Amino acid sequence: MKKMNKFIVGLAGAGLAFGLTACGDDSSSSSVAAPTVGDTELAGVVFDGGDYQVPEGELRWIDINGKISEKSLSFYQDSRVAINDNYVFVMEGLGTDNVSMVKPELIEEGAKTAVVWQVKFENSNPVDMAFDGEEAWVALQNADSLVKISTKDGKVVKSIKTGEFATGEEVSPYVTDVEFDDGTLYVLMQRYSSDENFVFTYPKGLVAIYDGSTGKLQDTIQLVTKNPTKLTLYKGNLYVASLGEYDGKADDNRGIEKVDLDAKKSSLVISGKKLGAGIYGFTAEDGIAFAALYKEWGSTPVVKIDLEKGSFEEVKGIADAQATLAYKDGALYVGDHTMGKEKIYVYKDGKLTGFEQPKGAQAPYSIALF
Amino acid sequence: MRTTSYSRTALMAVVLCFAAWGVPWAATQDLGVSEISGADYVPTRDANYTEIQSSAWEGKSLTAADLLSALPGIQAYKQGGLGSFQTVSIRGIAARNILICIDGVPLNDASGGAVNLGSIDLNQMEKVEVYKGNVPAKFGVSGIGGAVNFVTKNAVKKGGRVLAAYGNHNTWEGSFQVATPVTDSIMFASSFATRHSDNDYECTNRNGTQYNDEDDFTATRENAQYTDVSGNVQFRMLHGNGYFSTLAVTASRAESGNPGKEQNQTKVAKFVGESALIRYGLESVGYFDEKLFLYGALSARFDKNMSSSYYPLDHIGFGNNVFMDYGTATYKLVPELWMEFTPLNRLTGNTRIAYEWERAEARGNSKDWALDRKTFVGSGDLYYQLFKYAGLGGEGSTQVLKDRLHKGTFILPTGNRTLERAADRDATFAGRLYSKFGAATSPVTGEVSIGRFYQQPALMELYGTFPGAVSNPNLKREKATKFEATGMYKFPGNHTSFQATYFESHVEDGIYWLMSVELLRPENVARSLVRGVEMELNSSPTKFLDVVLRATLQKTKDRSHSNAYNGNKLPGEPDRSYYAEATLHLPFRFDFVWASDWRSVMYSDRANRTEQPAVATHRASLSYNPFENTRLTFSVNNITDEKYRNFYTPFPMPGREYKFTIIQGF
Repeated sequence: MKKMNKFIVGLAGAGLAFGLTACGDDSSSSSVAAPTVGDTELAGVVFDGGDYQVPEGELRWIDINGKISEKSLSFYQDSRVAINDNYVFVMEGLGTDNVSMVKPELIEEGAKTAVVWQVKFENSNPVDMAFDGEEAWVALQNADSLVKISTKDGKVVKSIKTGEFATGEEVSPYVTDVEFDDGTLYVLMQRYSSDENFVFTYPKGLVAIYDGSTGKLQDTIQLVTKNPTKLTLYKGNLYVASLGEYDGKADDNRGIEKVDLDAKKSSLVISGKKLGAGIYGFTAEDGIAFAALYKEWGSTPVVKIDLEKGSFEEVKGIADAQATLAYKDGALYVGDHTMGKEKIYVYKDGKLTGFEQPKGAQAPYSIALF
Repeated sequence: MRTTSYSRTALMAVVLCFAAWGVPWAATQDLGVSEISGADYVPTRDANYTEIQSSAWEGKSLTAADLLSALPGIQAYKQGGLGSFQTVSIRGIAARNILICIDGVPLNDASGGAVNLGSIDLNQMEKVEVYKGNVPAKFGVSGIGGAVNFVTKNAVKKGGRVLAAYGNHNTWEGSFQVATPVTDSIMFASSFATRHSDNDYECTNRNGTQYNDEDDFTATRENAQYTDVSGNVQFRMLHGNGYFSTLAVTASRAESGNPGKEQNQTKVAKFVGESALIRYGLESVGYFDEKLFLYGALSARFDKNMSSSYYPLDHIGFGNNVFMDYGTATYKLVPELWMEFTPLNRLTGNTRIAYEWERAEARGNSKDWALDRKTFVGSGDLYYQLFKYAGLGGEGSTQVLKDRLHKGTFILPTGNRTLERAADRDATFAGRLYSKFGAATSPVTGEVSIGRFYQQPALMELYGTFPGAVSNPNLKREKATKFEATGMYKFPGNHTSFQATYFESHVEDGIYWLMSVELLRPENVARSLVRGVEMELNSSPTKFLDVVLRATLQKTKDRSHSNAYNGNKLPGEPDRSYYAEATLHLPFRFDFVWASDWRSVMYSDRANRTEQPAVATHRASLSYNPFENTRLTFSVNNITDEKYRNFYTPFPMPGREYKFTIIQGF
């Protein structure tokens, strides 16, 4: 008798992030040499998961030869990964709401050894981290605040209330991305709301700018597109990618916009109309970005974008990248979620090369590079 | 390769069955029993059918899932205590593919999900019919995983009874049934039943942090209370022309908390389910020298299932301050005509023609929508006893259905698609051939069957509007090819019988919900192969002892195209499971029953990551019959207090349970 209700609750739980984005590009630059497992240097980590009917996802590591580990560490499905100072941070969401720090050199020894700490942030859905030395800002998507933690033990050292930016009856403004640069914290807010009929309203997104030390609000900038997903800094400007509504349309309510921080004004530089869709996954470095376009369910192909020129070209061979994108030093690591064709690829110098997927590995969901 | 292997196995099983059948047949010939009369042409019982009478559960604190999973080939899934979500799989085929009926009317609804057996009150039931191999012709032969039919207590036999039970966690049950003649030609029966449990058992809360033991603590299960009430009124009338007609009205209401996972116990989230069934049936006298019986029925069923939650207190659903109350209502109307015939001495058959109208509508906060499905089903079964020790039968069905998007246009949030009308669906033809060996009185009997079955996607899978999910109008039918071979042996003296069945199922285009860009969508991606053997031995060596031994040995294999799942075991399916039950009929009107079961390691997910270790559970009950119509029973379930739950299936279980039951008949 309750089957339907159970089902709906399951779907609703899975849909907590409806209108939200996954992660992708949060590997911060690090000056130290990449960690090694055995004698092999690591290139990055991938989190495999994202199957509603499989509660358990798996953290695997990718070495510089493109070999994906047979072994894996277990975390809840739909976890996102970030890397800082050669440590891996795993953000478990959807009702689990943990942040864990993993020491990659120990991952062969199992999670009990490799997980340095694991801390719960109740009912928060952590989705992104921005690092500031031995501290990190954590975007808590479903909460009315974001927190700064110590990366030594995961304890909260500061918090910022963000609930004032929520719209409608929402608890949270749905922070989807945080970036820290030169003492300033940039916070990207989706600000959507749903009513009692499950009808979603997407107002234009918002960037809030805080003092990264004190947490004091410095400014807010209204975006020109809806449902923003990621931001990146390039030559003193913020570039924001947005998805728009979940309707697969190609219009000016989505695309890439450039936020002039001096003029405190944002303008569309590549519209969704031109791209052919909104952007779900996004990663960028030095003005080159890669975006996964949300065409329709199961179809999120990748384009390479020159942010300065506003030009783009398709990266052929990826059908459903979703948000499994990480770009660094001229190499794009990208996952394909397509059922039966799950794989990780590296795209470099215009060439796409697939890595062998270990037997039993789930579809790639999130990726980060050392 | 697959076909070769399958054919070889099937051929071997057929040969084995013929070999098994040949032995007693030869023996019978040696004894000189060569005269074959019409009266001897009695087919053996259906090897894939099991009937469970109410004596198997009364006073024993068993849920419907417990009861069914004691049978070989059936595995249960439970999410908590009394009333919690519970399902079963049959011979490796998942719960959502099993037809669950009450008095022949399906409970499976437009959502396509599994029926919650936890909400079925066995105190209302007279017996349970289990069809493991197929959905029989009288239920339409539609569906790929077999059928379970719960039969309510009926107005056939005069009498009644009162039942009252109390157990730990403030669990109580009460039921009342009476059947009495109103006039010489009218029998009246009525029943009322209610159950409740606080389900406030202790559990370990690991706080959702598997690598941080410091924040683990012992908690009490919250918001898991469950209460249901159900009633039934039935009139059975004998008409002047010898016809019988039955009018039955059944209604039920269940209300329970939705307790959430161990690390996220809720406060106010709840489920409410309501249902009503009105059924009128007319049975004819036998025509043409009792060679033809007709039966007609009209059933109307209403179901409404609602969920509610408030995010600031429950932290499930969407992160806002709105009290969410949402669900569906479904209406069903089923006129049917059923005919049973024996045109020739050795030929028996039946035919059913039914029309089913189903409507699903939004309730609560959900945006307004409505979906219709009209289905015509014709099905039949024909069996011919070729000679005394062998017969050949076949059953088949045809199903034609038409869906309608009742309230206008559906915009699918998966792209730019707009649906003005539902897609046309192909007619479905399903069929099964079977052969029975041995006579009803033979010590060795057997049956072999092979069938091809289909299951249409449910309305909500095709056109539903679940929050956070998108439907898929392009879904295909799920398909299964199934083979079974059964041998039965009755030991001399008829105190002991043994039955073994080999079963094999090939499922294609199974429906799974996949996720992309935070949205779920059903897809035809599941393919699987199940092979197994189930065995059962029933013995009553003395009048003081009854013994039941059951075993299931099976190999399940995911054959989908995904690297993540191909070659894995199917979720919830162990390689081995055993069940043993002993009943001692003691002096001074005492009866003692001990039952133990064990199953091997299994995985609760397709990726085979979430391991559920091997487990043994035990239960016992002691009954005392001080008077002929009075029975007192004390039962203990899960004696060893087994509570383990994998970190990734954090729905705490109640552990050891006690219950005292008194049944007074009159």
